[in-house]
Amino acid sequence: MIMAATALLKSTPKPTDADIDAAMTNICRCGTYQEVRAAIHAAAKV
Amino acid sequence: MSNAISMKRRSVLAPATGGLALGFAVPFGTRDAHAAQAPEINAWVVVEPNDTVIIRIARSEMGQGTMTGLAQLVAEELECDWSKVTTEFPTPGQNVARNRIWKNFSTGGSRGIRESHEYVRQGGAAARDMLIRAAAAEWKVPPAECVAAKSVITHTPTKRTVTFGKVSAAAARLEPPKEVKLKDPKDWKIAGKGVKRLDTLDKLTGKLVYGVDLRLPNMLTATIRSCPVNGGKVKSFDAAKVAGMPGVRKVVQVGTDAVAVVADTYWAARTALAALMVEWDEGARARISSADIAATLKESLTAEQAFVGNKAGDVKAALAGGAKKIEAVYSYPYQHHVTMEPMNATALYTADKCEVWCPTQNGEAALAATAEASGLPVAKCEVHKLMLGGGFGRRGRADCVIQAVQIAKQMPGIPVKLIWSREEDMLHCQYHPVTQCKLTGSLDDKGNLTGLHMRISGQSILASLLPQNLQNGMDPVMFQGLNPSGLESAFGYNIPNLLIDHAMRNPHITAGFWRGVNTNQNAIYMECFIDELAHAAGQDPLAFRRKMMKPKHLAVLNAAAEKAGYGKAPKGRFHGLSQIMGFGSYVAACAEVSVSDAGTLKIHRIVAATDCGYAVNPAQIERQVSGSFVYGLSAALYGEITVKDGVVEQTNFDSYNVLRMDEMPKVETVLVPSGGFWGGVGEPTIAVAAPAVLNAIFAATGKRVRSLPLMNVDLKKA
Repeated sequence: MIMAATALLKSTPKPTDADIDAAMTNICRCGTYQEVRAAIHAAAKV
Repeated sequence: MSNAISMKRRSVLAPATGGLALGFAVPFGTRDAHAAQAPEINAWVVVEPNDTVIIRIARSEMGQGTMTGLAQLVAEELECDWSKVTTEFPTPGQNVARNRIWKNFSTGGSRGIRESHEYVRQGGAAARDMLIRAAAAEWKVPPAECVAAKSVITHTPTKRTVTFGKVSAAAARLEPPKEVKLKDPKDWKIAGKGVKRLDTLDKLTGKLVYGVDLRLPNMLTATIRSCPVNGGKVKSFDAAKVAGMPGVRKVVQVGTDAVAVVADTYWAARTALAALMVEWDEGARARISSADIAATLKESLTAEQAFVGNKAGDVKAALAGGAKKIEAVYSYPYQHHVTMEPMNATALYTADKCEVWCPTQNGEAALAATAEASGLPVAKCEVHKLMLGGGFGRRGRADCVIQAVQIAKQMPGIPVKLIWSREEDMLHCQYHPVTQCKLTGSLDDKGNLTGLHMRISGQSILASLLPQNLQNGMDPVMFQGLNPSGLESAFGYNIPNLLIDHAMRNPHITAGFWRGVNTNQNAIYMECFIDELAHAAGQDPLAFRRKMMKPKHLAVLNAAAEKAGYGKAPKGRFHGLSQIMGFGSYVAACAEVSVSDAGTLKIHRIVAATDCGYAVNPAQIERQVSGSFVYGLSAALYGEITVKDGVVEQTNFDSYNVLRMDEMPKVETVLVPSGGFWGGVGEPTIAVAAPAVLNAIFAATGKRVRSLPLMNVDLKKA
């Protein structure tokens, strides 16, 4: 997930929800998708 | 995490600092060297001279956050500085040696907090009392003149202060108090707050060690293949063929039904195992397929004999005398947990000791399994619990531990890590049980529900895993969410004439606890059928429910409906409702979906309400509720295990899909803790995910889905 998010932010520094959804195809079973999406938006602002 | 094993977990997260620095010190007891100098005040609390507070956590942490919540409860009563809190897991062996001082290690049934809140708080309160008495003795003042706050004890009249760390050694020598008074939750300062999890940073840096990541000096890796047909046996295998393959150390039979290859690396073991020819004695079960199981269950929907779980009035007369009779048959498939981390356990056997390192939801069951499989007394066995990469009920079972010990016993003195492949995991789970349900309801001429018969047919988890817990053959767990009353999982409706019964039929596939357990199918059956009845009565599903609901169930349903703006969905979107009580908590959901003309389902938004009595960490509860929809909706959309010729057909994520980020709806959580009881949060919400969505699909399309998963259903407009 960290690798996929890093690659996304390199190519798309300000991703939309749709960009994130398309790039983050990793499986999460415990249910952090919402948190991961929020974290990527937060990282994009750093 | 004072007992976290320091290692470089993955190079991307923590680049190796050169060389193969893979061997590292593994704690053989939980008490590290530094902790040995800091005497424990009691079983739950150790305070080091530097004021670090170590709180002992008996339950397993698998991402659900119970470790943080339990620490909050201890810290609340201890009156310590939260920023100085760390945790450690006592081992199952230590628990046995100390007469089960930490009580239950088992982590399932959403019980972590609701079953242990009282004794862990008492542990914190007792330690605070002892620290205060130690300080008072030093000052030669009455303890009643002293107070503790943020790890500092103050003698109120003189304003003298001392920190916990300075008096902890003296406190440890004192007698524990005979009784302690616990705080009223309304006075909580640390508990009840959404504090950050204690393990996030260590997870992020890779410091925490998951079972599959463990490395021990001289460790070998094994992988295994069990008879594809559950209950079958090994007939023969040709070890010589693969014995010379690169890295292979040994080919061993494991029990009566499995063969393993032990090698230098997982890849070498896996490659050799794939090349190994095994002849199986599959037995008669190899003739059973999903259609046979479904036929048996269908037949028992009308069987004479059934166990009664809930009964009121005279349902037969009500159904015969109603103005309108409605009938429907539902079904729920076998499902797999698919934890991200595959099953694994590491064992080291010598003639006088057997140690196991594993990610387990039930440390004591793992210890018992270690003793049994090694043939050594429990006192010569130990289990070290490692972090779990998902549990969901799967890791309450010790099947993988037994196998790891059986392999290690054939290689004394060498630690062996057994890793199941994903394919092995898919084939040898204890699956979510398969059931069908026939519901019959009667309405009077005003559209009131006068009678309801719910007949469940199918598999019992207790019969599969814990037959000793059956009550005269009956499995009471079948009726989760349907019980007449009680604090665990009471039925939410007052229906004058009611019969809920279960005709047990147990196929050869092992059934087991799967997050949410039997509330999952029970909520679908009941909540979708109530929706059917509402439509048959020409009434709105919320208004129809409100007329017959019990107050606490209704309060959460109202909370979800209100926050969702039920009945006022944006154009083209539709709402569906569901509710249940499970694991001591009341939960409800409102789903907002749209279905395109081509039949594409989009779940836009979920509003979920929870009344768990007391909320120990609201932020953590919100995440558990949100995560419940990933699990519940994955099951609703894709979860189906099928059987052909006795063998499970799904082998990996390509044939057993799960919900991805692009399908994840926005989940909004409404917490309405009403106090006075302690409910669980890890599981109950799973059950309301599917029925809320199915009811919304009906509102959108007029199609009533009675069989999951949705991937098999065509939602295209007729």
